[in-house]
Amino acid sequence: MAVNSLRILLCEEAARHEVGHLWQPEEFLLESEVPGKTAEWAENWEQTAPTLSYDFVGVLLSKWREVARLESLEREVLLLKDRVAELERSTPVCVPIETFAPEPYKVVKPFHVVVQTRADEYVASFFDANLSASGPTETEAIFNLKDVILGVLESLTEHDKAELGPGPAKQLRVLKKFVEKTA
Amino acid sequence: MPIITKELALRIAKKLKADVKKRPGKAHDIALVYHEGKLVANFGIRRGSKKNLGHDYIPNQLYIRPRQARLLGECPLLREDWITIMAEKGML
Repeated sequence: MAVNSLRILLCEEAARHEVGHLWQPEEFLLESEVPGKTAEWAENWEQTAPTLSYDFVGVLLSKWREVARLESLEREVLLLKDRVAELERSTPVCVPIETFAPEPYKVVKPFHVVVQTRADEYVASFFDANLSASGPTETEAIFNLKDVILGVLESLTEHDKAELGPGPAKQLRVLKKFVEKTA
Repeated sequence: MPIITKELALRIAKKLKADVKKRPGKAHDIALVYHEGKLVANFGIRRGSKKNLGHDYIPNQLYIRPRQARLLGECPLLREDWITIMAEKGML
């Protein structure tokens, strides 16, 4: 009977302090409810109950603040993890090109291409020559760019200098600096 | 999903009256765009069979923004409009 009264009182206090949703009776088993223990109540428990309930609400509030803070930190950590993963994925990667084997072309001077993610794909670019190609993986994007470089070089060398506009003329000048046909 | 799919890349090539140089056994065909007898731009078109293969690099190679490249393939932007853009950029 005494335990029930105290519980009702605590529930009312919890509701008054708007922390009723945190009231978890099983977490706050009174000693008398622990199997094998006997309740020992002071005779004046009814006078001390309000103080006890006040302390109890204080504990609940501090626990609630701690939980809220931890949840907030957890959310921030998850956001940061996503952000780091996104940055790792989207950071441009610089890759040296040193060979066109097995194609009959050689690299006169090694050069770098940049691989970036775009939508669900990787785009490899040789900016100096304004040439790019994409692929489902970084490796494929680079292989595709090498293919485009050779394809464009072949096409450009088939033209007279006078037949090339400013863009393709610059591409040819750049490509000739770095790539040469071997056979 | 790429902004410029292979399907759109082929439409852009057609719209610009590009000469698409087939390269059997290679990963790309090369589209060559001419204006008044001069080669003014080029871009690779992947040879895979999937229609949605990404070609998001094409706008750079045509000296236009991705949105303009899309409009070019989807009709509102005409070849003449692209020629005007190229002329303004000193690429002709």
